[in-house]
Amino acid sequence: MGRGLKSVFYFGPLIFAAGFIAPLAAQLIGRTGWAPPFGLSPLATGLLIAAALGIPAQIRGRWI
Amino acid sequence: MSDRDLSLLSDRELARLERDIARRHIGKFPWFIVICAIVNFAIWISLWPLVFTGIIPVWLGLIIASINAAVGYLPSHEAQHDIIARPGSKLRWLNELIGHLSTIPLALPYKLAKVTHQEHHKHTNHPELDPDVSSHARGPWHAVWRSIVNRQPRAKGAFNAYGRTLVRLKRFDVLREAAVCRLAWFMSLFALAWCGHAIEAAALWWLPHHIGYTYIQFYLSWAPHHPAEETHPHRATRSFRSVVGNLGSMGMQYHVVHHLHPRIPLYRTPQAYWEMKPVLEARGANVDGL
Repeated sequence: MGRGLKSVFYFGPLIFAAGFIAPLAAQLIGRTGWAPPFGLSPLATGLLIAAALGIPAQIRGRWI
Repeated sequence: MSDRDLSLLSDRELARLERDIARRHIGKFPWFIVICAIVNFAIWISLWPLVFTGIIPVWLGLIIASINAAVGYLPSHEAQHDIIARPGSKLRWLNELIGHLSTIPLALPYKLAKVTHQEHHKHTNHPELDPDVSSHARGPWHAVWRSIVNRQPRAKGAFNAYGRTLVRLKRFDVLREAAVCRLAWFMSLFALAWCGHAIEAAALWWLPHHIGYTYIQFYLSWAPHHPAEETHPHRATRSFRSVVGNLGSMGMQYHVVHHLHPRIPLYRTPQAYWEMKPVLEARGANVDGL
């Protein structure tokens, strides 16, 4: 269990990006009524934003 | 007793005087903090249906939940010091219940907070042994920045420092419980987000966690220990005057009394401070701020 938890926390930034930032960004886009470019859906845009934030955070070990 | 009389006393006599004053404030049941804990938690819980049904706007929910998160730490802090009820006493369950419930809005596991906070008391300002030492900073804005930086995934401070402390103490039970609690918090946020309530979850739990934690770090860790250069119990903590008053600083202006006598309830620390101040001055305590 300990090792499993450790792995989950090690990949925390990626998991948090996919699990929370992506739907949060998608719902903020929906709430503001902003139309994403290239015909992307709010969720696809949310996933792109999450990847743009989560991958560097995973590599650097910090969000800011 | 005048300051002049105190200067004639030995440190041992001064210590006895200090203890006598402290004793007068210990052992009173802290009704206020118990009621505060219940009301604060009830308000936070009620925010969820109120925001979900649109009765109150999300931004207002964010402000109230952030206050709930910060304020909720105080009853838990009393419970961490067994102030509500001592181990083995009839109301011990209440002490533990308040301890656990109060920090839910802050998403801070109670046992993790308790064990690491006790270490903070034992080793205040020690560069390696104080789990809160990373909150020390040059000034107020730097303290806010440090608090945010310390919470980054691979930072040295905050939760990672607490983890290292628990490993050093071999408290793997607490570490495991804290990890499960943190994971449960993240899973709750993810579930809410993917069910279409990400904005509400961010406003009522995720952002309040960060805002509340920053506020607590500022007033409980940074301000009372600044400049954090000394480790002697009478010099490691100071009294200070906050721009937001004693209420706004969550009663921490008199934190020096809490560090010297941790079983004095929060609501009695101002009175204990003023009674104790001449003795503290005579013992070389850092009490110039008030």
